[in-house]
Amino acid sequence: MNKIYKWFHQWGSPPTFYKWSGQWLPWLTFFCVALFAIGLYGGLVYAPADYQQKDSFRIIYIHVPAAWMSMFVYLVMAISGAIALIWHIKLSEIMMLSSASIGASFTFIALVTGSIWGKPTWGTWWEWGDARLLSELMLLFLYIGIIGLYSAIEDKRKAAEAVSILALVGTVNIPIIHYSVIFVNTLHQGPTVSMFDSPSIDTRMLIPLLIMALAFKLFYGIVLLMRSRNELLWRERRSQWVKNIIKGDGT
Amino acid sequence: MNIFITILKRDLLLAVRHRTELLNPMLFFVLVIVLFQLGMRAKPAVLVTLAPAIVWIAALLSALLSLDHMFRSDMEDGALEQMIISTQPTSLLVLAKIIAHWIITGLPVTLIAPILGMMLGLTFDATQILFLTLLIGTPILSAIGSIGVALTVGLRRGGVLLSILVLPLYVPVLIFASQTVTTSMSGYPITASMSVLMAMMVLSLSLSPWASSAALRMSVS
Amino acid sequence: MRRDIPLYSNTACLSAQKLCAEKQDRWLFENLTFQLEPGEMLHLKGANGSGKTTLLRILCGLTTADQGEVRWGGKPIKQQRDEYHTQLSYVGHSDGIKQDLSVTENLKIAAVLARGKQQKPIPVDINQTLSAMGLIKKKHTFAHDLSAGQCRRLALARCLLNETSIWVLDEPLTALDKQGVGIIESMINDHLNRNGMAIVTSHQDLNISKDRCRDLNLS
Repeated sequence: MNKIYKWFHQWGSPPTFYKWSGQWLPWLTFFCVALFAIGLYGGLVYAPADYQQKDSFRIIYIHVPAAWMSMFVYLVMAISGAIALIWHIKLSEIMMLSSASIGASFTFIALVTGSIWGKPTWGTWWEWGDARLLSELMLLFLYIGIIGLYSAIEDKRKAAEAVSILALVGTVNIPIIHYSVIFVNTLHQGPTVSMFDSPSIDTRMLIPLLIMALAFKLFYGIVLLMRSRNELLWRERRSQWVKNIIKGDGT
Repeated sequence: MNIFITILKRDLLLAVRHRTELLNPMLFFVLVIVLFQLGMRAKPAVLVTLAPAIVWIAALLSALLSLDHMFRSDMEDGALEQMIISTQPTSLLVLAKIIAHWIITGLPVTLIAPILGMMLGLTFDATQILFLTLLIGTPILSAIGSIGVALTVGLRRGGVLLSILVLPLYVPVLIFASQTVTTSMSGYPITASMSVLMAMMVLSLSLSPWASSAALRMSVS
Repeated sequence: MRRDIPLYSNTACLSAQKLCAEKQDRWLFENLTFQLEPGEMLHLKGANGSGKTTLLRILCGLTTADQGEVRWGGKPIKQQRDEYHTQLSYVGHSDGIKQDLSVTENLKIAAVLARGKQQKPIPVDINQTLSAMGLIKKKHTFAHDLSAGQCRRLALARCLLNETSIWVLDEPLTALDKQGVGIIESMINDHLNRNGMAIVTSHQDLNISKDRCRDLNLS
């Protein structure tokens, strides 16, 4: 246990994190751009037009990954918040705070693209009876609440603690979101991509979707690292290693 | 157990000594329902389908309005600090305050709701179900709300932020509760959604004191 | 005065190790270290805003310091919150009493709050405490009908009632008249004689025996 803790401590130490994240970023960016290119080609050109929805379904290549990411980012945020709360690891705290607005943006994109998809498919921009749309909206409110709470509390150490607690409490909301799809009758398609059932969509449509999902994940990783680096520099601005970087000695 | 009862009695005693304020949640509840009817001027057949939602929204808003009282006065006169550095477990104290808050705000609303439900045109059976959902659901509102208040009690103007924080957490309760009544009005069985509501109540009452006491410790520090 | 009261059973000393506290980009105090033995009082002095209240709150465990820790009997207070709080009474800037409750009701609640997991019995009864604080005539008065000085005395009555060995008092003499100041000073002297510890901030000088009182200036 001691060894794991020491490993975490070493990798989580600010100068080390700054160095290796700086080394990884160019590679991540390259792969991310590549995956986006492949995924978009696959989704917009390669995949066949849907039998009923023709070409308007193609927006799922943005909508679905964005929706998945909105929930994934929330989980990452809640977990790093829990780590920061229990073990007081500064880097966890920074990652949690940096994830908040990224997650909010993904949620917003999911909602807007979902709405755009809804218009030609079901005839409405918004459907109040749809549980998944509604819970995505609630997720957006949760994110806004987190960002709002953090900026409202002046003492930033207290603010980070408050936001960790809020994020953990909101996590309970996510299973309830999933349950409501089953409990309440909605317009939404049933879940078509799951780890356990065989997917009910064509493989040629599925593969670009998964590629796009991966591309979005990398995008999140890149933005998260960049924001965390920034936040770290600002917090440690008085320390020696930051001063070295400013002077131009560091990487 | 002694400390739980002491704090419960204390909060109830303090509320009774401000008797006029006890009416506020109930008045607001009635007002919202009356305003809905005045604003919609709908036919009775339409109104009765909307009744469960109207009553529940009114209950939710009145809970939201009264949440601030839970910790604010204790925060301001230093009693909250004393509770936190006392040797008693803070979560037990918070649970006592949640129950006291429910008795002062949620319970009166639940008790007068049947009258208003009948006024909106609900049948006797539907009113019974509405009453049950409120009885189970209003403690959930107090419990979940306590987390939001605990996080914002230290802020000077935490009012709007409180609503943003608490509403996403309230929405599942609203959906399940009003859905239960609507389902029963259509004649379908409601055991499933009632069980979910009861599970929510048990879960929220057992878990939110922990979250709230952590948030209070943060707010007070 | 009560001469036959036994000594407190607690003999552990309280120490602060390299405490640092920050407020809005400037350090209030850095590397603050001191040790307090049973029977001693620490008199905190300093200009307004120098961090006296923050230090008191850190010592109580209400806030945590940005760096450093507080130890009681050698162990950090974080690891022994319950035992530490059993021995602690804190009277901050606000009195911590409910205005809508009577004097007796307020004290009863304070007693229950201090009882702790061990269900420590209350040896001193409420009437005796109220007499000692000069509040016996106001037993059933609502706190909102008391003067500011009387409210302060009620807040300080907590320390006496709960028989705790560590007192942390933030400006205890605020709003007190000469009689009140006298009561508090002899209260603190008795407490120190019983091997209790006290950490007090005060703008005024306290009439405590010099060999028991140490000064700490935060400016």
